[in-house]
Amino acid sequence: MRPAAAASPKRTGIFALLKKEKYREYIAGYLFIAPLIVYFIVFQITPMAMSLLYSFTEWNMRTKPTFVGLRNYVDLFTNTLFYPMFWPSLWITLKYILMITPISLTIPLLLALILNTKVKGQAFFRTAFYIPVVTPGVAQAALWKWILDPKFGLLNAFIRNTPLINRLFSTHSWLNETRTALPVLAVMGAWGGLGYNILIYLAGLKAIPDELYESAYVDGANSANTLIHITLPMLKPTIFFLLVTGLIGNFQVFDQMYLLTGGGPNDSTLSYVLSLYNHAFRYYEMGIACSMSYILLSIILIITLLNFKFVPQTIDD
Amino acid sequence: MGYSRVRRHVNRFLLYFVLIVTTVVMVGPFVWLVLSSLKEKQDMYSIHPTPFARRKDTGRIYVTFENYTEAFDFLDFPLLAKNTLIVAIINTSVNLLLNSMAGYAFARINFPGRDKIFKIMLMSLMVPATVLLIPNLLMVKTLGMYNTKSALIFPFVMSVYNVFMMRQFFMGVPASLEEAARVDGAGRFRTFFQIVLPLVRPAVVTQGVFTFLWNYNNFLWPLVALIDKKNYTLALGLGSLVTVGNTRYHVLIASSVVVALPLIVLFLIFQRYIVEGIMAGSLKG
Repeated sequence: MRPAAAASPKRTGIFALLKKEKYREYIAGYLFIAPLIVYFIVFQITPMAMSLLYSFTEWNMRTKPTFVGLRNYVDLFTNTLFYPMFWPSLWITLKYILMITPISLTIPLLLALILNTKVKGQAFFRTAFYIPVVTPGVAQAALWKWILDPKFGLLNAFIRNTPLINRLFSTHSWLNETRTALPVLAVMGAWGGLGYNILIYLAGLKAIPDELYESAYVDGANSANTLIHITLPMLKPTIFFLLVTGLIGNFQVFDQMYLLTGGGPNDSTLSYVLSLYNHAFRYYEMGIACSMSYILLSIILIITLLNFKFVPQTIDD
Repeated sequence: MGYSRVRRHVNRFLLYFVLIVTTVVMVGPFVWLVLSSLKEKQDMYSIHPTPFARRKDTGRIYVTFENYTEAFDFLDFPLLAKNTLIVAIINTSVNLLLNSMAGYAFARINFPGRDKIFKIMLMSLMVPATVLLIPNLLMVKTLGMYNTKSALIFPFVMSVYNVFMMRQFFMGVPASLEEAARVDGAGRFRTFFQIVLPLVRPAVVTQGVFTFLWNYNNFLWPLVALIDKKNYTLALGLGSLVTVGNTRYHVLIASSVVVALPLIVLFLIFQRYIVEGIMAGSLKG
């Protein structure tokens, strides 16, 4: 019918072959990503949409959900009688972050700086420091529960039985006192992630070109100078990476609170996600829990956007 | 001259001192855990604990496994281990296959819409796991997987983050190798499985170990997705012991050794890959 097609001998020649080959590429490409697409739709997009819908409803998972518009969100923010722990749980999470972040940024940096000098046994120390990272959170919780036990715990035994230390510190029921429970959980968290942060710092340190140090050395700089003027500026992207991923991760802290304190004593360790968990699985307020998920998502998106905006993506910034 | 040498020695000493103290703080608790698990109850609940317990009458150091026997009465470890291994092994192998296929397609195959799809996937990385907790639970209920092992498997058969990582690794493979294979008449599938995939073995091993660790350790998801004890994983079984508020430490401690030790051993075997994998990954990222 079409004269152009019939009149063109090229189309049946090498051009058609190329075209066929091109389409075969397309098909291969789509086949390779097909599982990802299915996975993405079923376990990311659709569930997110479902829970967005449910966040506008009141729903106890047994009866049918009733549409309440934005009421869940408004109530969480304003109705402290119905949802007394919303703001406190955010504040507790923030306090936890303010405690854990300085520890988990500075101590690993110090250790990475030491490991990056010519100390012997670097591999040994790296491995030793990383062991807590690969230990199940539940086993860590069990371990700390035992160590912190007021009567039989190693920590109090150490305090009791060591002269001088027992003058400086007193024994406590560490996880049962509002004053100490959250700080202790923060130290535990930092302990668990220390090895990972060291490795990231080491990677950052190894990426700094040696010439920078050599020329500084020629100029007569001492080690404090090189740390302040070369190492730290060059590590800026690494520090920000750890800061931002740490913030995002610590906003979701749950396991240790759930396992060790259950949010207590006196709700002093009730983190945001633990509170979310309680609303969903203890009070059966699915609508509220879905709203809380979206509030958490917004917080994390804001952190991520601030990250893109203010964090130097390259060292030259 | 003598002075600076002394100072160097003092510096060295301080560095090693810090490293050794840190090692004790990081590893010491585990050593203490294992040592305590080998004591008899009365020595375990002592106010003046010593690393090794001695018999009262003979003064000899002893080792007992009775805490472990009791732990096995409390938790059905063979069942828990079986469940954990089924979930972790299926998830790890399927992840490795599907993530690397998708990563390869994004890195090397040209097809319309590729970069757009990739960007959408990248955006989804901002959604953290906890936010997906309830949405995924709703989905799992809709699909009828609630309270089954499938609930621990299907939501985790892929990982967008790992697809992204695999793409980075595939971009580093020289294109000339693939071209040579294609001139010889190999299709995309053969090129992928026989030429390209073996070249990124370190990435595959790292990702495999991490996926396995993650599945083994996962706690929050099984906690909400399972009711029946017959589907419990090791983490969940141990978790139920930690939370009851009891202080039957002899059971708790022996159980946590049973749960933690295999993973630590696995790490020690693969630690070279893991360490290099993290360091390479962070440099690229």
